[in-house]
Amino acid sequence: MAALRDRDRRLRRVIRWLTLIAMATGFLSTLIYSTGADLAIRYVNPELGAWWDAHQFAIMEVSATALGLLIAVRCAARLIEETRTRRRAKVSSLVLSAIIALPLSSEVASIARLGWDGGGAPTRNFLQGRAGYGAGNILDKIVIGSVYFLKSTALAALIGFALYAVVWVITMSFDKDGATEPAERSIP
Amino acid sequence: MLFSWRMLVLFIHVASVIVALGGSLFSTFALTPILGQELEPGARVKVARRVIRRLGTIVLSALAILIVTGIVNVMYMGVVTTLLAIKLFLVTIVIVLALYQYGSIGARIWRYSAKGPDPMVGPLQVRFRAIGLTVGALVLIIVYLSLALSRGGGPSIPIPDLG
Repeated sequence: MAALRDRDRRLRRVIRWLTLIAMATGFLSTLIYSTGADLAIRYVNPELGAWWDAHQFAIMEVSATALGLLIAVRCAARLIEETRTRRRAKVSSLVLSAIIALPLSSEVASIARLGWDGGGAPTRNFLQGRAGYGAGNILDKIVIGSVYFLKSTALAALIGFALYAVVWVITMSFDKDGATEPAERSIP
Repeated sequence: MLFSWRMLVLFIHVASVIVALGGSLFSTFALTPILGQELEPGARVKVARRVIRRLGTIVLSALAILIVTGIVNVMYMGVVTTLLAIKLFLVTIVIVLALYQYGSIGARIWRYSAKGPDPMVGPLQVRFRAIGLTVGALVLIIVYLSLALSRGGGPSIPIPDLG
């Protein structure tokens, strides 16, 4: 039991690190994408700048999706009582999340594009009124990027909860505790 | 069009709501009271714990399908309104509550009742039922919001003044 708890703690640490990495990558990529700071990277290292310019949107989206999925896995796992089932479900969800993160990010990106994007005239006018025209424009772009990132994260989190629920249900049905009762399976 | 991918997704979406909500309502208002009246405590606990396990599988699977088909529906609709955002927020609360209901309270009921009736099970069953009713009420609100989303395009019907 102690070994199981130890492994669970290690896994929790890994997930915490992955969440922090996704958060940091997402924050940086959103900031650079919104402010157009990739020009500075291009100035320092043209090759890296060109690569970043070509991939920055994808990096931002995959980070947002991964962050959403990881948040969902962490929150959902806290709702499960039994350590062994929770750990199995967590590992399986993480593996599945890693598999679906890339294809899911493009779908999440297309949905996050719908509706309010934070770029409405009232927001821009307010920011320009407070910070001046130049700074207001930059702030407005950061707001648009941040809202987009948050929307993507929230959508991915919703899918992450669904994923964890399904994985937990499957794990539970293979659980030794449940299998010891043969009558359970004879119910049509 | 009668047969299309969109219709199929919508059909699965609606069927999932029926399964999730219908299963919970049947268990809360029909099965559990009858079990309490007709069975001895030992047999009642044995049946109830199996029902919780089986129902958890059905409800959580239905909710997961609901979310996936819901996301696909949003893609077909091509627009995210404030109403839809509220609906998605409520769906998140529902899945979190359902996971807590079956994953935490349900698992504890399953564990405590393994060797027959246990004094710990009673309060847990009360909480299980309360969360089940909350989830049911939230799902009903979500259904209403869905109707508003799909039928809200036309003119609104004024509520008659009964005073």
